[in-house]
Amino acid sequence: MTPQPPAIEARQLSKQFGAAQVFSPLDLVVPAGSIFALVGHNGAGKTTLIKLLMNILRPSAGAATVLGQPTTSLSSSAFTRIGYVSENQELPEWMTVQGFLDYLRPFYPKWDESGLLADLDLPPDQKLKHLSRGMRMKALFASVLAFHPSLILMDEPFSGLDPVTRDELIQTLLGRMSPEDDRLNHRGTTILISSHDLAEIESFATHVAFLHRGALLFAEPMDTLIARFREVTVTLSTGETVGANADLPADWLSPESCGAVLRFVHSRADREDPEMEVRKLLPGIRHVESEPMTLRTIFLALAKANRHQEWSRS
Amino acid sequence: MMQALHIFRKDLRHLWPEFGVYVLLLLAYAVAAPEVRPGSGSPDALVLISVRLLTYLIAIAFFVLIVRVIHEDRLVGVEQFWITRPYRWSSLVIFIFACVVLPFVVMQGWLLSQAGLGILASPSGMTRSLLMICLIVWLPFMLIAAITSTLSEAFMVLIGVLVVWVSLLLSLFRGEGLTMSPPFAFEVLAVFFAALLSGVLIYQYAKRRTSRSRITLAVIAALFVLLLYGFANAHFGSPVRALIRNRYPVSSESSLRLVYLPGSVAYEDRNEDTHVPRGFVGITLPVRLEGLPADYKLHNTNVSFTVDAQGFRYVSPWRSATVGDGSLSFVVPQKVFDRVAIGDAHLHLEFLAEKLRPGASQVVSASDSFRVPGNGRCVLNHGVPVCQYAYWLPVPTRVKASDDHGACGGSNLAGSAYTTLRLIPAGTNVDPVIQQVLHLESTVCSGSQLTFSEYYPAGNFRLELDLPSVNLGQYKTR
Repeated sequence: MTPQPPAIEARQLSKQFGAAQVFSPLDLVVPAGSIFALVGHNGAGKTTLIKLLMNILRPSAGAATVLGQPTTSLSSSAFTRIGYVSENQELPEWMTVQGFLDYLRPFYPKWDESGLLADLDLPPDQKLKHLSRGMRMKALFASVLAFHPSLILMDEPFSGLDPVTRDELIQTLLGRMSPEDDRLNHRGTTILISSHDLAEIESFATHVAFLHRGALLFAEPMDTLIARFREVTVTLSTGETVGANADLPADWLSPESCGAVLRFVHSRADREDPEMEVRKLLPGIRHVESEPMTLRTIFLALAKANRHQEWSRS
Repeated sequence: MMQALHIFRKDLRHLWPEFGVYVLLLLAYAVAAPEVRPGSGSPDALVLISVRLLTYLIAIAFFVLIVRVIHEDRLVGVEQFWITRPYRWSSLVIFIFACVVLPFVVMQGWLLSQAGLGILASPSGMTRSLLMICLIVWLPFMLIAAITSTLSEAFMVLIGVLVVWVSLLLSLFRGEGLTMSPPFAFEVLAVFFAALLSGVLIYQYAKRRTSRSRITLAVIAALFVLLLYGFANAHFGSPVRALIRNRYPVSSESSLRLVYLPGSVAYEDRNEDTHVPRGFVGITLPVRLEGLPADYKLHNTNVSFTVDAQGFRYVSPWRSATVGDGSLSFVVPQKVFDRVAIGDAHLHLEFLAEKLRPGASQVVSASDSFRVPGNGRCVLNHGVPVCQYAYWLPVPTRVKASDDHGACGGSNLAGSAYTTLRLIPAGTNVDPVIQQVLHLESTVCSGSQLTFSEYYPAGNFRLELDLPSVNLGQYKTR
């Protein structure tokens, strides 16, 4: 099987609004068939990045391709293969849910909405303007999933939704993704999703990228990331202490000490046995405990570490 | 195409109230406009006001309908659902044609048929009129819609544009309506600005770069005002004069000349009742045009002159002039007149005109309503023929009336009227029926004979006259 080109590839992509730099030049590769989570604070540049990839905004510098096509030349026909869902998207409010789908159907060469409304528990005769936020998002999902796009970009699709609706959306999304087809060298639907709902994302994302104040801190497969981070708790022998400001390795993030107990996040725990490494660096250890972390705790630790770094620099 | 029709159906389904109001306004106009035409009795003042009001309401309906359909899938903003869908824009053209242009043309066809004229009576007039409406009304409305996001915002922009436009017209172009345009100026400027405006519209649809489109439109508007201002104030004097001279070459016919007849001008030739714009002075020189065949007519008569007096020199742009039997009337700016009229001056005068030769004549018998050449129809309104044409009359026509058969009860009717209908095309009028009252010297009755003689272009010419010493103050009319 020949390797499939990435679904999205950005090279030195940057965006400025006037004098304000939204994000510095970044490189990003989203493999075909992946579910790629884009996480970051509010204002980190996630929405801008997605809008650049959709040719809604133009980059200040650099370039990107989506399904092999330069984003700046994405024509209307390209959107028969690309779906876009955003929490702020403006819909034709006067249409009913079914009317909206009926309206979009002739735009696409293939369209299959069978069972979608039932799966998403959407009232077909209700006007879009009368739908709740969650229902609107479901209608948007339905309008994208029905044409089986090769690539779906979603900007904060779960923001402000209740857990049941979120679960419904995720289940429908995963259930409707095009399957892999080795004969056609087809990796199935690629999804790029920006979200704050890290717990939900972790359950189905295959890759994750962390955008912080316009800089891409990392982008890697989810399992690698989870393997890389460990929350380490070190209990020192009686009488021994290590200050949180002590000269600790840069990979040890957010160190906190309380008496004889030191807690930190090890960001390179996949390299070697973290316990051995800690014992080598800190003599007089009584006990070392290393626990895997969730995406949410990794995100919080990284955010905290970055804030601390910035504070130190200033 | 299928997608365009699909989007068109969606727009029509959503905008049927606006479309319905527009159609009702057109219907009301189609019913009311014929009521105020001559021959339909004395129209009620209310009907007269209603027709005028309906004209404005139809213009507003154009604006609302065009803005609403463009805002259905608006271009300003980044959150519209359609911008990441496989959309094509031909639907807009279909909507504008089917829901704005077509009902309007149908209404005009109805008005023409009510006036006894066919909708295809003047295809060239209809094309010209629709193109002018498109350029002056529909295209600017589409542009305003393309760079705004709400109807109220679009209205504010429209009001702003109108206020600025009227202010500029009032402040910059007072009393300059007599200045002659260079040849094909209207056509060239219309094509040039139509191309620019269409380019901005296409660019905005292709790229949705609203700020750039707004700036470009402002620059185009400034360029347009600059061109008009420059022209009106003779800042482009030399090139414009050169273009006009090129279009009106010096006459090669030795018999055709201007002759100065020193002395006073006869009162009937002094054009005392001619309107002279504020800031200007009317001058009537005792100058006769000789060598023009007696049955020829002149059209588009203009003069340009250079006057030198006591170190002061003034070169006028080409301005319209009136030719009498032994006189030539034109206007001079008051401030120029004040400088040169105190003594003798050196006047070098250039005169140009288009010759019209008589063509075919046709005699028609007057009745309450009767057909006339040029696909027109006239009605007798209290003994005065009022002729109606579709959009315009393509050739100037001279009308002579006679009553040899005593249709008016033995009174000796004789008179003539010379119409130049081609100078007043319907343009952007809602009503395609243009009217020309034939002011004859006496009453025309049913059975009176009217001779319609059409005139055709027979060439342009220019003549020069040098008067080394003339006192212009002597020839001031008003």
